[in-house]
Amino acid sequence: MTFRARQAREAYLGWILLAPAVSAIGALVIWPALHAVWLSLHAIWRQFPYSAPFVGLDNYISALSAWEFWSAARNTFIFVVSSVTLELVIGIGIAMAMHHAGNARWAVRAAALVPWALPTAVAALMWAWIVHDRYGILNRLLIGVGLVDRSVVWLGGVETARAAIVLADVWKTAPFVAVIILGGLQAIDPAIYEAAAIDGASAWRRFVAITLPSVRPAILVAVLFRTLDAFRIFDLVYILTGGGPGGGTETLSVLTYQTLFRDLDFGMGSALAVIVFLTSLVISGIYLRLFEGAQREEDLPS
Amino acid sequence: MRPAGLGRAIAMIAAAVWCVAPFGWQLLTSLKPLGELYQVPPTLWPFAPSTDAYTQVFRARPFHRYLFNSVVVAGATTAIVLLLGGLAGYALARLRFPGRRAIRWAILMVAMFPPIGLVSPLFALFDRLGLLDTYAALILPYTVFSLPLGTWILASYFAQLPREIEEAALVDGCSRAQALWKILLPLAGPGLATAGILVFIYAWNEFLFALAFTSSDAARTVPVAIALFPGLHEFPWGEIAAASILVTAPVILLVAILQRRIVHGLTVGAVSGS
Repeated sequence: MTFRARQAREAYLGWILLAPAVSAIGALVIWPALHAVWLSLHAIWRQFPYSAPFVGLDNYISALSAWEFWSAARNTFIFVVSSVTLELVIGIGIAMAMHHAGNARWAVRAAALVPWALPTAVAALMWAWIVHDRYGILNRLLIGVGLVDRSVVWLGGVETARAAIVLADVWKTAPFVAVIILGGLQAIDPAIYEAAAIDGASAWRRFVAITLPSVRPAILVAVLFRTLDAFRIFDLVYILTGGGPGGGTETLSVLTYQTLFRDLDFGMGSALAVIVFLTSLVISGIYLRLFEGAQREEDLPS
Repeated sequence: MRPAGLGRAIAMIAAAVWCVAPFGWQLLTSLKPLGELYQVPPTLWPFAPSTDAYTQVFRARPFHRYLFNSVVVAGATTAIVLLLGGLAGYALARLRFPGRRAIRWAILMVAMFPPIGLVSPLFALFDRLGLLDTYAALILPYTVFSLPLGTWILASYFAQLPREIEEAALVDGCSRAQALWKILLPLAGPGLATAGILVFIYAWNEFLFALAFTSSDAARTVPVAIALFPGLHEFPWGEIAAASILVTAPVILLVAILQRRIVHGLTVGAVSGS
């Protein structure tokens, strides 16, 4: 068989093997995404499924001029920044603990995977019970150590409800960050630390000068995934606070869901959905740029 | 023990306690009888442990039905993703052909796509096809959303296997498809296990689509069922705790046994995804 013929056969086989996955993605992601754009340009109410007049950008204009949208955008932003930052700090801590655990590594690793493996819905209800104002263990602990002198109604105020959501999310996802960073830690040659120690570098100096730069790519990956995930947060908020009190914890995904299934406004809900996915796209674009920059800088093959 | 050793031991224990304690509290809660559950201040250990909450979970609602639904949905999703992802992963890892880069991009885009963006069009689609409230309404979106992870993990396994094995098979007269089926697939066992466990856990835990696309017990999965436990006037905390333990126990068991693979799979998934 000539080289050319073999190449053609390989291409043919490649496309045959990819066909099922590609058609699934086309039919269930790409086509529906385009359909969402179509829906967002029409006035569609679930109660009247057979009339769908074209309204142009009306849904977008009303979405963007409603205070609910900007309030949800603000809540989402606050949530993303505070939870991703905390997850990174605690994730690095857990990763270091796992990395240095020696023979006990399996035990720490198994423990760290518990929050990750739990359904978010279950984690949300678990934290709802922990922060329960009357029967919850959190208030009991805080009163016990003297941090507060009477029970806090966690889900009753906007600030404390936000804190409860961040706490639950950080608990649930910091282990994922830790696992990604652990991968970076394990790639560092221990000889570098020994050399630095011989040169008299303190533990903190070694952490800042060797550990952090070496795990930078891993940190970027973890932050990318966590930012995208935090941006689309739904389960935790929907179950823990339902977006309350007074819309104070309502995020963009929750607002979109409520518009679709509580208000039954499919046109507006689809417009919100399109706004969410375009924003997601922009976030991933920015991070991927950062990556390319970081990789060129360190001259890593991609 | 060096002083650094003590510090490390403390860090290790702190990390483990932070991760496990909230779940441990849920376990203790599930074993408390009603009277003790609503005691102020809460007791730490149940003084009269009981399994009432567990029996009540099954008695008050068709919980076995939800468990069955979850098993069917997560099992079918895993099987389909391993098949589609295995074929695609092999093609991406081993074959050179035009359009390969475009496919990699498309898969990456899917991995980053927010599920809420597809809730309304998929609802409309499944409504028209009469699929709402059926297993298919969950299996289909779960399959595409976990396909990127499955494909990446399997591609990385295929890429690791020495090319010589396959070439030897080709020389011996196998076709490429035969070489994939007879030689590479059995060798990719660990990759299939890794991808399988991650996909299964994703499907077992998913909430948004399950909430939007089911409206009765016909296909409702456990996470949504538990979230709907609270009625108008009561919040059955004990039953919620018991059900949480029931739905999580199998997953935690899998995680304890397969932790090495899971850690590896998460790392591969995240790194290839970027």
